[in-house]
Amino acid sequence: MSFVNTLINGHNGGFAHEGMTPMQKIALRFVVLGVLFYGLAAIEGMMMRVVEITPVPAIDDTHFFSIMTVHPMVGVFGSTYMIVFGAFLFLVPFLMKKPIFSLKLANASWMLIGGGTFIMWLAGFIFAYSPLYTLYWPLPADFSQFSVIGGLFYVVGVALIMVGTFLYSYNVFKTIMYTPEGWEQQPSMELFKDAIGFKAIGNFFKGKKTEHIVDLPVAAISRGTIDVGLNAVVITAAGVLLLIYMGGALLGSNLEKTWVDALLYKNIFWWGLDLIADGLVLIFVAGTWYILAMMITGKDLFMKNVARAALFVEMVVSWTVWSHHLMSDQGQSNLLKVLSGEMVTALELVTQGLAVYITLVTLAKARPLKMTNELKFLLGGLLGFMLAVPAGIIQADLGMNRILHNTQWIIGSHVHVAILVGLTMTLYAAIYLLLPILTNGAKLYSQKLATTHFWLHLVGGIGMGSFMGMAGIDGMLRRSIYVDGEYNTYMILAGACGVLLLLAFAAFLFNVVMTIGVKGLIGIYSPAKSDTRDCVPAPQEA
Amino acid sequence: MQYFIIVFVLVLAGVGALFVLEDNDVLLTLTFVVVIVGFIFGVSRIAKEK
Repeated sequence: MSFVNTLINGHNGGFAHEGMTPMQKIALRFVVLGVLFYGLAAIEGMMMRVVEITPVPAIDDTHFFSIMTVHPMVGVFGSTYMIVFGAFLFLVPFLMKKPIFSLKLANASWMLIGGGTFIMWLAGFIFAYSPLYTLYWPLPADFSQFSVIGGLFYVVGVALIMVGTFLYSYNVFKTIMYTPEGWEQQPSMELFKDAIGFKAIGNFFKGKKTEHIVDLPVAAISRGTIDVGLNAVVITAAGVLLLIYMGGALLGSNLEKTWVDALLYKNIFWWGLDLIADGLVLIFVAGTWYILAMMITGKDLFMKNVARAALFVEMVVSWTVWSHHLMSDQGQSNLLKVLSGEMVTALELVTQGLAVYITLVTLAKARPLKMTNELKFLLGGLLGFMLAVPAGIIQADLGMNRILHNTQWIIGSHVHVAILVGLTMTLYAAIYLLLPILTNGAKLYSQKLATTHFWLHLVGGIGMGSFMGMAGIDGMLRRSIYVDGEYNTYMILAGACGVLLLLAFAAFLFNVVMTIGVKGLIGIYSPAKSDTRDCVPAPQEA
Repeated sequence: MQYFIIVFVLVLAGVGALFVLEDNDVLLTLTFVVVIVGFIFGVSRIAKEK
């Protein structure tokens, strides 16, 4: 088969998108957009890496900080949210053997989150809105520095993302709890209590044995989705606050005298933002590890009751750790710094350590296992969090925080290793595992490209994070441009690793496109021919 | 529907808290508790829908 033919029609004829269920198409629509936004975030990241090495005339300071403002938003909401939501909207009904509550809501979710991310990105690209994604008050409302229209685009984009997020969370919980037509009445309240973890707690205090009616992976998705919702409440509140000041600016009123307290704002904003970093990411990742370990081995999870309890503890911990982001704020109370910032944060080493241990033992007990792509990437994801979580605990120490706060260590050794190696490799494992299920058995175009993808991503991700971290220990601040090449050795090495990450993504994208073909890709976005709400086609349809 | 109304109220409460709360750790913590309990209550309303 010629190259062009494979490119258009896919490997071995690609996959017959005509035979796909609406649910398969929706999941793939989320994933394809998520992968494309990952590519955008990777290119943005590489542009910033180049500027950190040498000035680039085409990227001035304003452009640099605009990219820096939207880069994490594109990565988190445009890519991670999309891939995770698509996978979970498919997996909840798939694992519960129950139709999804609403296909329309699921379709609305990917359109709103995808469209919102694009509009938010335009705020930086066209209007150079660049108060950085942390939106430290009063920067986002300082319209002497940033344009009101740019801010308006940014808020509208984020608002659409949040609406899509609320629709996703409603759809997931409703799917767990509702009674499909023709089914025996479902115990909605009991399903809710078991999904969140209240049932087990109640039984623990009553000394009763708990019979679970919601499987562990669905319980993990539910608990992570609680943090998704709480985060969306806070981000939406920040958006409404911004709109108030934008309205004032557009009407010609200067509302500077009514600016809210910066430290209070930072506490509330970080409480919400941290529900992504220390909440839904860790819970969703642990849940995904468990699903992957069970599907790869075909065996039950090791210590599954402990895993379930640890997920609940992780959820509660995630509500109370925000103060580790305010350890260097002079006005923050010492009580919150020590209790929330140091002590509760340290518990994450226990909860995430348990998740790593349970996953590894489940895999080890099922040996010999074939080193498939999903297993390779799962091990990479585990390694990523084994590196990034301790890095986070090190910086959540009042003494170490004096040295590491606001340096490249934070964003390199901790954030980028957690996201690029831990989270992204876990998501790649899920994509490799779900690809044949979602495409009714499409065969991967090239195993060599998949292996190349794995090694380039692993080495590139750990390498880039490590060299950024080393620069941070030597004093290089984050969100700063050094024009005299003070940290050039580290920045050149980090840049080289960034190139490996880009090449890894190119190998993956090329492999996927050649697997399903351009026709198949377009077909994913055409309406499904069957109107079933089943996840996969019935055997006679397949 | 109640879920979305509760979410809307919580968002407004969050904005209001920024203007009302002052430098008080207890009130700040209570705000977080209210948002958590409120949101989980909102999710529980989904189970009650017909």
